Amino acid sequence: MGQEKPKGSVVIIGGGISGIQAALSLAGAGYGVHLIEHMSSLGGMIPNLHRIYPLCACCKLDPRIAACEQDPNINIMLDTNVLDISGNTGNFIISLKTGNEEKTLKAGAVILSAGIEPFDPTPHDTYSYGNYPNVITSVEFEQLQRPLGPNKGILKRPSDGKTPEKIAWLQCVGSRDINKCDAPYCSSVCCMYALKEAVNAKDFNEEIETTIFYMDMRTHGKGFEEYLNEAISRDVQLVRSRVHTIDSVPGGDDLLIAYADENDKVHEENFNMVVLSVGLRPSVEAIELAKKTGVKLNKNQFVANEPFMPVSTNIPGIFVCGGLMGPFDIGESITQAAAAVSEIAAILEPESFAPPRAYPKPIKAGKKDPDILIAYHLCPGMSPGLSAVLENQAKEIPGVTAVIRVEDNILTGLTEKLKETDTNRLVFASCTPVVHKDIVEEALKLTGLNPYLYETVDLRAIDPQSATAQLKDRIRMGVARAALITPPPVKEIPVVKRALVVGGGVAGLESALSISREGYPVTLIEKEKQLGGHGRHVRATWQGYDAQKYLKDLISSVKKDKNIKVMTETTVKENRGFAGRFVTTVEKKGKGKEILHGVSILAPGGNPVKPEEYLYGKNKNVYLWSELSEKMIKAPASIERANSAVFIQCVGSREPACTHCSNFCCSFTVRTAVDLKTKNPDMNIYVLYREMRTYGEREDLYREARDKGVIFIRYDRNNKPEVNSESDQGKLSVTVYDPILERPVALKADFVSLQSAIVGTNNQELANIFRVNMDSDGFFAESPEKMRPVDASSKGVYLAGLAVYPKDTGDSITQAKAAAARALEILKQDKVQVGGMVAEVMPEKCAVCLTCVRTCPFNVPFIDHETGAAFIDPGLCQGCGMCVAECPGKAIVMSTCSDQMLTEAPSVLLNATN
Amino acid sequence: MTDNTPQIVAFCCSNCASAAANVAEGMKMTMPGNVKIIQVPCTGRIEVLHLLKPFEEGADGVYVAGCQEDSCQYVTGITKAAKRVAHVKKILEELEIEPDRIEVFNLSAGKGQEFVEMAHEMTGKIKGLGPVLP
Repeated sequence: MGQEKPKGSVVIIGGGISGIQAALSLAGAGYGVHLIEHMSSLGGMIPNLHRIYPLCACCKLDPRIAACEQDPNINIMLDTNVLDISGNTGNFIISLKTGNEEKTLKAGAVILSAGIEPFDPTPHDTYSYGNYPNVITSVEFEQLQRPLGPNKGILKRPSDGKTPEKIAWLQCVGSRDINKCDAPYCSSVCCMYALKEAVNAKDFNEEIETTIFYMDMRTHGKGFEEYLNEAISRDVQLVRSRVHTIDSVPGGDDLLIAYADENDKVHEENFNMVVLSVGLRPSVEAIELAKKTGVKLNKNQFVANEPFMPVSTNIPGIFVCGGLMGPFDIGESITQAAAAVSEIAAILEPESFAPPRAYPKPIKAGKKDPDILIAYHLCPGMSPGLSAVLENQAKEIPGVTAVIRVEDNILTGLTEKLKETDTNRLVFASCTPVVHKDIVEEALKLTGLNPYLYETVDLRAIDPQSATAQLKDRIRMGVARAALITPPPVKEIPVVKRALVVGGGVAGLESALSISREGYPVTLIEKEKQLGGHGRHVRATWQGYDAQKYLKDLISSVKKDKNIKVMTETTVKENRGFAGRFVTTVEKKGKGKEILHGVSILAPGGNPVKPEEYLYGKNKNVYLWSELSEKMIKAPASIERANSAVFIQCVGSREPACTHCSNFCCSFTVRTAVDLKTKNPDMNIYVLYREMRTYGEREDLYREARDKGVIFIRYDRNNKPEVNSESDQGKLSVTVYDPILERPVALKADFVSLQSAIVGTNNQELANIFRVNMDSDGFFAESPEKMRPVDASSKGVYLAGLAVYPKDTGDSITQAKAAAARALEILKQDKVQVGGMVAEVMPEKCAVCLTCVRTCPFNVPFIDHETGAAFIDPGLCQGCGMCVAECPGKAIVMSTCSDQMLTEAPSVLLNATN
Repeated sequence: MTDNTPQIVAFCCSNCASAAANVAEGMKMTMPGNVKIIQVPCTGRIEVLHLLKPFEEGADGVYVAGCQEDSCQYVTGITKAAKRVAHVKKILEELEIEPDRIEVFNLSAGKGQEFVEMAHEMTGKIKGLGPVLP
């Protein structure tokens, strides 16, 4: 376990989503946590939001807040301000003030997660915020849209309560603005939320005209570009213009916007309502605390950090995550929270407040007749009428003892009601039962029941025309099936304390190290001869740090680590098993080998695609961006000597064949351009782009590039630049239509760099082997998006790096550490429960015909010669039930999907009496 | 068949069904009430008897909705289901019931609208055939 680590609990300052996530992960790892929030409730920004792309927000946050409240290892302190932090790792003293009462806490480590505040546009005279009632901020607009908000979800404008017919959004209010707002950076999330708000307004009423005034449309995240395309197809208007003034229209509450279009033509347009897309600011209070504590801030007042240590501050033992580090979205904040947990585990032994949760001895519920409890959970967006239908319906079904509605505290609500009613089966109805499965199983365990004695009912996609009948069908079906479940056998199996990491790039190497430093062995598989992956082609991070030196050090620490077994030129062939005990077959030079491990981390990486346009492969001075970087690493002189260079963005991306935005190409280009200009100020550098997506603090670099004289020319996808070879020595000329000059211009270039789309290297094959889902762009899919950003759709499989979505080195490191933290949650357990939804052989009926052995797609059944019958390991069975269907002797049963359930189901559904 | 609305039973693999319901909900699409869903862990779990039973109970049509053949989470589940559906078509023919009353559909991952569209498609088709027993 390495050197002696101090022991202690952890203080988290800030109870927003990242603080909540960090608290839950730490408590799961055995730490006692003080979660301090200055407001009177947990949740931070999120409770203000209507929907978080792409899902409704409520059921994602509430269960987490409830879990914090229920965890004996999390001490929540609301309405509490932190006055000071002193001390060092293992020995911090935190002084607090709740109301008038002051006290101090001791802790081994601290996480700063007090996040962001929306920009206040009141002092900003341009927008007349506060003067005109129908000019509101985006945060206020979210409130107006919320089903639980002041208007119960009915969109009304503030002045007269009329539903607006025309709404405008103004982007970059309090962002990308040095003159008035003192916020040079891009707030990164506003383009996406403005699109979301406009689409939600369309959902409310398709007739509402929505217009977004923007500078660059920055939809750089996973699935964001697709959302942009959807918004465009829903007729959300996008106008590239920064609006200068908002005036009132005389004789009413409407607003007049005057703006210049791209050709400098001035337009005037009336709107019923104007929404200001306000930027994000680090919390003032948190900045004060950071300054007092000596935590270094950068020039934008965010906590300063190095890209290779993404969640560390300058003070050892104090970590940071979420909006205090920069303008980040929810997914990024959660990932950072998990990464901070991994960093704490490396320096601090856990000290808990309470022993782990104890379960009562299972009671033999299966012997009793089914006694059913129906519990339902309604999201605020769902029709309240569902409640009455559910309650009335339930009374009429035989076998149903009680029906309850659970709200915020699902776990306690379920557990108490199960005990109180002495029921032994549960039917759980909600909008996304998959999200609640863990809570439902936990409640059954806490009651002493078999955790699989439940059925779920999905309340989504109900036809309003026949809602009652449809709902009744679904409930009847759930009840009928629940009544037929016999408690399946559940076994406990020891966890295999080893991790398998697929991919030897930055993400794979970092996660291997994070797991190994906790004392667990790791096998790292790399298909190539060398370690480093795409990292070998990265010269510098966007902040300008030397990526090659970092990579060299990283590879050498992995190679030196005795806990990490590196296998190069090795590929994965097969994987079976379950979280806690996987068996993976790998192959090196034709030789197979089986590896037993408890968790898998998939980080197979990505590559830029080789384009077939712009003379790539035909002229030696046309580089792919990775090739240009490699050249600048190995032989920079020839590149630095050039007189003229052209960078072309979005090569093969954001096009119908490959819709996603590759995220870090814009930052790569401005970094490279700035560095080249620094070395050779006379070099002419042209960047041909569609949108400059230098999001977040990368915006500073974009400004620096322009200040240094780099010329940016925007082109349209329908009018792409043309690259031609000149006669002499590989010189090039590039023709592009300049929208400002309104004519084509010809640029001479000594070299051209093509920033082409990044795609996953080997995702399809690995997705099949590890049974995980992919998204429509071919990247690994998280499950479910936003709230579990490093978990794959199969339990025990975690994701990191370019294979999840294109991202820069710093973000890959954060994600790798987060994946490691999630993996460690399983590795730290001694046992996992298996069984439940699996097939079981009844030996007395088995004729040893081998049908199941041949049928199983995962080669699980085998003939046990001692019993003279087939045997299916409940730990390996994937629960498809194919062998149950095929067995000619009906010797295999599946209690969660029995023949009886399937033959009785049609009669339940079709012969409804009510 | 009441009010000319056919009663249809759909066997759906729970992976597809849940993912599809998610997307359908996001797109504000709804499932028609006449299509009754029975979820199974994998369509490979379904036997010939399970497919015939709904007809006995008065269904006008039956379909199985599962993965694409090349991307079934359980590799061969949907292939086996397709084989059984083909077999049931023969049995229906012998019973002088239109074999078109049973179908198998392949859903693409993440395309929830197909889930709703196939329900409407099947409803339309069965409507054309009329009730099983005139």
